Amino acid sequence: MSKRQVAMVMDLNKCIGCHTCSIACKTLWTRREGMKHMWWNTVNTQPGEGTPHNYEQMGGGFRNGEAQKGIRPTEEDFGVAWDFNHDDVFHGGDEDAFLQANYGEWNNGENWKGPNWDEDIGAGEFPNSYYFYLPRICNHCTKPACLEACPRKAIEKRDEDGIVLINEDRCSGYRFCQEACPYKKIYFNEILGKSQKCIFCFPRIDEGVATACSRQCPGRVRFLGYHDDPEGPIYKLVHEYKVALPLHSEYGTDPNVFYVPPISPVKYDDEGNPTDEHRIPLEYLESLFGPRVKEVLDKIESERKRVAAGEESELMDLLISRKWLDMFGPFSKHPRDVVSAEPVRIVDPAQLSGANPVQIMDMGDKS
Amino acid sequence: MSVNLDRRGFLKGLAAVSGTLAMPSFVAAAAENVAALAKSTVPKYTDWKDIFRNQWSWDKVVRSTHHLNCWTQAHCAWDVYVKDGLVFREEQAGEYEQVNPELPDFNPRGCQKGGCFSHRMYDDTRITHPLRRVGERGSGKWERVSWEEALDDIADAYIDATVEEGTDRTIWDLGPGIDLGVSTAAQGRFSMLTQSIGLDMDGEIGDSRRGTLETFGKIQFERSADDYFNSDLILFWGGNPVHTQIPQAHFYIEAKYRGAKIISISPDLNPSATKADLWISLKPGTDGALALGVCHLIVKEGHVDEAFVKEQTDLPLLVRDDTKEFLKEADILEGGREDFFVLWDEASNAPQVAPFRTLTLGDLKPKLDVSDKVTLKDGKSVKVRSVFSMLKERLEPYTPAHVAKLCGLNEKVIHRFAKEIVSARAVSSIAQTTMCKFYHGNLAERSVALIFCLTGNMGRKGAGFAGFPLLTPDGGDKFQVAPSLKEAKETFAKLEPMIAQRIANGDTMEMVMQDFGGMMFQPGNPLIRLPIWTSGTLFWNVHGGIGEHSADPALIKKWDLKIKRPIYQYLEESLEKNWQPLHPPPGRDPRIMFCMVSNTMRRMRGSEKLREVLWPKLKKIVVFDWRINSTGRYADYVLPIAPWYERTSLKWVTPLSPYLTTTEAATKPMGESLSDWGAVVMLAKHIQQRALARGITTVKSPQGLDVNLHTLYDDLTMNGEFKEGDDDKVAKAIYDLSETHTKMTWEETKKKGFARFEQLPHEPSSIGNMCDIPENDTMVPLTYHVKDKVPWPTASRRISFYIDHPLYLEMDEGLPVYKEPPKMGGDYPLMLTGGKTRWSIHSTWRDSDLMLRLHRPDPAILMSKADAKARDIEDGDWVRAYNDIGEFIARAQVTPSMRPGQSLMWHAWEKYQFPSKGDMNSVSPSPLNPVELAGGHPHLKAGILSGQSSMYDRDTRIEIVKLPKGAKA
Repeated sequence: MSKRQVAMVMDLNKCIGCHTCSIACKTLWTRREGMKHMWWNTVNTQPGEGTPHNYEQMGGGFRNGEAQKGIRPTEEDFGVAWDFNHDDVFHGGDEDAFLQANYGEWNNGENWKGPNWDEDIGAGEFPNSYYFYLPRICNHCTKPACLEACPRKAIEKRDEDGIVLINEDRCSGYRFCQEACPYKKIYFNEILGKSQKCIFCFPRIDEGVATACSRQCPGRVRFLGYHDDPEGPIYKLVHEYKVALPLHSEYGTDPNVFYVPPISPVKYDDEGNPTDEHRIPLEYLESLFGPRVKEVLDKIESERKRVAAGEESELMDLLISRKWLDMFGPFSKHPRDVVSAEPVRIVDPAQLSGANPVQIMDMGDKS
Repeated sequence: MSVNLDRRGFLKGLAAVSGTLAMPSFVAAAAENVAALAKSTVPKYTDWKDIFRNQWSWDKVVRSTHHLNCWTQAHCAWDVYVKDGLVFREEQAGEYEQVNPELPDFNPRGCQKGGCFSHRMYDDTRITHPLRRVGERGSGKWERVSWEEALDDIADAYIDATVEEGTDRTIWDLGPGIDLGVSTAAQGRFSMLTQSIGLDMDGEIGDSRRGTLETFGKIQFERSADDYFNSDLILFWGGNPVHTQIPQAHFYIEAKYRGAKIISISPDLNPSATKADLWISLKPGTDGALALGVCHLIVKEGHVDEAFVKEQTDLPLLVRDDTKEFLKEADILEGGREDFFVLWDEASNAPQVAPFRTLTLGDLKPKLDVSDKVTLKDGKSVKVRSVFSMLKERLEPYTPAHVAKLCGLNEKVIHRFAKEIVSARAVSSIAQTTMCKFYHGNLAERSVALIFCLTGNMGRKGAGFAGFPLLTPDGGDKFQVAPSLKEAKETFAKLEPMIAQRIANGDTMEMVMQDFGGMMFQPGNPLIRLPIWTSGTLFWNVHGGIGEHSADPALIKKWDLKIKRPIYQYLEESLEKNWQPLHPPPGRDPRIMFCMVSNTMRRMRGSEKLREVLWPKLKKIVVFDWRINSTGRYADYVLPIAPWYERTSLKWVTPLSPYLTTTEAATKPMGESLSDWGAVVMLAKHIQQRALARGITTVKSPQGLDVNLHTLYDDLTMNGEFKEGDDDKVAKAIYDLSETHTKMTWEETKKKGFARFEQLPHEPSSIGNMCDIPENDTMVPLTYHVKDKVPWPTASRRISFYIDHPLYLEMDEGLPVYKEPPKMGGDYPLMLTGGKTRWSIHSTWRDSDLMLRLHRPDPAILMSKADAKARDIEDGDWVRAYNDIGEFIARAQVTPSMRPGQSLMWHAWEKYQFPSKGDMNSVSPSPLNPVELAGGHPHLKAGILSGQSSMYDRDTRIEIVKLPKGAKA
């Protein structure tokens, strides 16, 4: 257990499946060698296979405190990061050339399913089909299965905020963490030979800046803060109003990312009349977020009615968050204002001379 | 190339570190070899975390954005991060001030596409040198040439065509990327000086909002997105904001938390429908019927807001039963006016002239439901009816039972829908441009607008039918048209007497501004020299051969178009009467085509015709872009354009986010890229040089204007004041000429990246909003009409539900009516609908590897489970879609959310993304709709971005069959 724990709440009523969060993370962290297939932040249409495909059947985690067997997802399971033949198409001099992903023969290829291949399909039958979007990051669990599983103790949980990090200096690439994590949020870098995953943007958090996925979300889906801060949104949504629920709490790892479950358009009866019932089956939402879903959905609907009638609602005001920065608790600093932003530089030998000494780039002690 | 700070690159840096620091073993070896470098103090590296910290580091940050046609989503203030002279990532600025404490603020805006432009601008599609084709057009064989060589060749071809055949042989294919800023400044000045012709593509891309024009006399009006937060009932009807309003969708969902309801009307459970409280599914193309059904109930059950309707609409105005035309003062009074309409006044129990200079009724008490007789000035007695009386009769058959059958839904749903509307205090809509992509979409729009007007839901906070969003600084026109900055005032001063006269006559400033825009379609007007625009749709139809798809008169019956005469007859009549001007006129072939901010071959329905009919006429086809898009593939030249992070500019936005948003160049243009401004200026330079070398000076335009080729560059650059590379200077000039931004200087705005509009632009493409733009409150459009009683820019000066233009009467579209969607392309069982993809803005990101990895890598065609099962098709199977017009191959996406009978393709797949020769547009014949050829009418005429013919694709009928595995395209 860490002294303090940061947490995130995602309001699934607001998520519109735009994947700006995924891109925010990708452009910042996973552009290096061996990382092309990595999406530390994923967004999936639910019901759906998720990323990696069918991860909910891959085991891991704990049951009654006992570590459970899990399998290690392959790159195909996560979705191979295809390359394309743009060069052939534009410069190959063949007027019939068309853009192809390198999953194999275009009308025979198998691996055409990427991380979001089942977008907007969902489940149910017309006209009562249903779907919503579920963004996921590493849950920075209070009881991380990955940390327990690593024989080299290469996974650490920061004391000051509970962020779970894979120590890349210690990691020897055994990949037990990939088997152990029940959410299957750990990737493997074939070039480095190391496991890698969401770092909760610790360089940003350390500077008081919200995680990229949170700050860049145009839907204003994500709240950040500490569990123990009574003024912050996390405390209020998770502990006071209790509308933010953990995903698959039965995995036993005590995740620190919570979700406000989604209301949905009413469904139709057999005569084609609209009913009063939300169309996403309660059992399905309960299978994800546990037995309190109905209570939360009812609360949201009743608060909406109250506000429509002219009453005040602190919960609705909290979910609206008229001031965007209020969503991020203490992490409301602007990235541009961060002081130590100068990059570590290559020292050009030609520039070395006594007259113009290279300045020290003091990184300070940030570890 | 990539900008990754990869391990190898980092190691090179680490190589300078001495061995005294704790380092992983993989670094030590490199360090030994260059230990000699470690003379000076160097960065410290303590552990693996510093690699990540270093990734989040930069040399400089510049405010910028993406100046393309995100349209309803435009634009978002971004911080662009630069390291080692290259852009390596971007992040939203997130600094929009809260408008007032009651409203959610606009932060952070942005979307995933903008969020990876740093990747896109350097990916495999980027070109940085001019390319000239060496094989046949479309063969894909290119050679690199210099700008000089390219522009000399193009200049000579341009001069040949202009001198030998005329100034109107050069066409600017201006696509949706048009900015009305620095880029348009270049093209606009070029066109003004050379009288070359720009294509107005608004109707052609399918955004005409025809029904809105017919009703309100204009299309451009919308509220700020935060005003939807004030709504009680939001209708998603005609748009899919979860895809197309990513940065402001949160307002609509936050409105729900404030007690509002959302109702989505769409055949399929699209992503926006998942956010609704109630989703109403109806057969595609039957929206007009549903709307008329609701209107039927509103009238029958007594929910008409009579005060609103009597003052703001034409419903009380009288129509002659004998001519079916509006009764005018000139009919009943000797010397009476032709433009004075008549209503029945209950106070005097007699017909009275309706208010003209204002909408205020004063002492008049208009009777709504009139069926009576009036005496004409010659003594004859004629029956007259109010529009409302006629409308009541028109609405009679649209009972819930009948509409339920037409729309394929349950009667109770219609009652419920109507009830929600009439019991809400403020009803708004997200109406965007789905309906106008249906052949009879104009009727659907009119019918939906009728709901809002009957219930008085217009021009109030949180209430209103949504028009076409556009908001632009008003300096661009001045910059385009004035010979020099000094003369900008004088140039426009010439218009003042005309303006003053018209205002004195009772016209509104809006009407005057609109007509000013319309002047661009009438070259050679004596008052002021303007760039020339013409209808893109008509150009492609007539000169491009698109019309051949629907020329056969037998198709009228086959496709059930419900038109009375062959299309070519309507077209001939329209051109003859100069209702819809076409430049160049039929018979004068275009010769030179410049494609800028456009990708015609990608978006044109039935584009095969262009290659067959238009391409052989063109001596030179030049595409300006930063990649070889579908159009570039078939061009003679592709000239590399610097994308937005590499240039400084400003651009139009929309009221949805009423903030001018600027780009400041973060890095230098890569390779030999030039901005649009730079490229056009250089083109002008080479034309001038070649003209002088060839002894060519002045050529006359068909209207007799002087086109001075030998001074083109001098004139375009205002005698060298604004040269190539002066983008910032041009942007500043436009900004300074604008009256919409006075609080900050150009420098201040550039640094901040955005500036809120302060007032309504007096400019043809934005004035339609007719409202204030408050600093500390939401923007509510049309309040000048609804609150201040300024007349609407229509024939009757009122919101118009009756149109007495002969074409409309011939087509029985005088009043709104429901017409079934035609069987476009043949009587095939599935209707191919569409929408804007979330994965690209038009084609700009469509073939981005990053975007494709995040959904499906191949063009996807959505089908219902039932239709797929019936055809033995499973999700992921390749299929062939076809009809009488064409065919294409795509991968099936089978979903329970698609309505049986409906299929759908999200748009903008490039031609070269299809394994087949045909693409998704190959099946859409898009015949002209005769009513759109109307003209010679106060508000049914060509104007900026409106009043012209449309192209359609949403009623396309197809069949889909499975492609066996391993089969060829």
